Amino acid sequence: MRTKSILGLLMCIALMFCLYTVPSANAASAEEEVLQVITNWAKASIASDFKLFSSLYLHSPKTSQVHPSAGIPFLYKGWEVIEKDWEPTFKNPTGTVDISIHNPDITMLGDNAAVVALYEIVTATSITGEETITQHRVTRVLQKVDGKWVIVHDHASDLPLK
Amino acid sequence: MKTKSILGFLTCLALVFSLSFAQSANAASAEEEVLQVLETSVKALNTSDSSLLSSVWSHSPKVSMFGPDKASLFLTQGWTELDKSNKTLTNTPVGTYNFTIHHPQVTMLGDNSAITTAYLTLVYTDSSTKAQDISQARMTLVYQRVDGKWLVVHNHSSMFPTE
Repeated sequence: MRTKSILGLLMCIALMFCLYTVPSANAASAEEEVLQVITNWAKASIASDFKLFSSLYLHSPKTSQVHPSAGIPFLYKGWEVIEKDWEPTFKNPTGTVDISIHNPDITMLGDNAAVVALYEIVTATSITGEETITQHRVTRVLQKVDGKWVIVHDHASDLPLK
Repeated sequence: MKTKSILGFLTCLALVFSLSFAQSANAASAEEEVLQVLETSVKALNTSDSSLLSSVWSHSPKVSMFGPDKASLFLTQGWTELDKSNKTLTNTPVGTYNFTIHHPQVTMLGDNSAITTAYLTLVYTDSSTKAQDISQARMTLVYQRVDGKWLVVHNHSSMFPTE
């Protein structure tokens, strides 16, 4: 009888341990999935792979983007607008690009996530080979839609000079 | 029997209509609540009200901010650091900073998260010389609803690019 009670107790402890560890494993995996999207964004840009790039975004009118470049609207709203802006750059690259991501930090917000990071972008023109290095502060907001993490908002900006 | 069926059908229809209306009313109200937080944060900056500004932020170690100028760290992270940064603005005489929001847009991300985007103009007035400087910025705020209250968890503000 006593052995049975001890066995029962041990099984309860094992069950509680399993229940305790499973959510944290899931949380870690969600962060990894989000980080994978961030990594794939850089991969798509480096390889001029628009199909991959497109797959990372929510194709919705609510998707939005704030660009670091001058002379453009302060906000791109809707995937169609974003696609129209990016697709030509991917289809007709004027040189090469290399992107390294530093200090990515993820904040999980349930089925949403916010990621901040520093991007170092090295571009080289195909004609002269001249290299330009820029650094951007990047915020990406992601949402889990139908089990897949997709970007719903980007805000990229140059490091402030003053 | 036929009258009963029609009445039953009409009741169902009314119920479906009520549910659908209630859902959209809730969504509208959540957007309004988020917009209110954005407006409150700007009001707090314009009136140098540090406690009001503190009330719209989550006080978590995970909150973060990309500030618009070089004075801020590359990334200000955690409420303690962020509060210090906010106080550099709110510890100035009222009227030093005057922010105006343009084209604020709310995007709901489910029931408990949201983002706002806006275009800002900032008029800085030197309290001693009264000289003024005007700048323009883009701002993204990320919000989380905690215990029924919308709080800012991230701010990315960047000056409007000029070149």
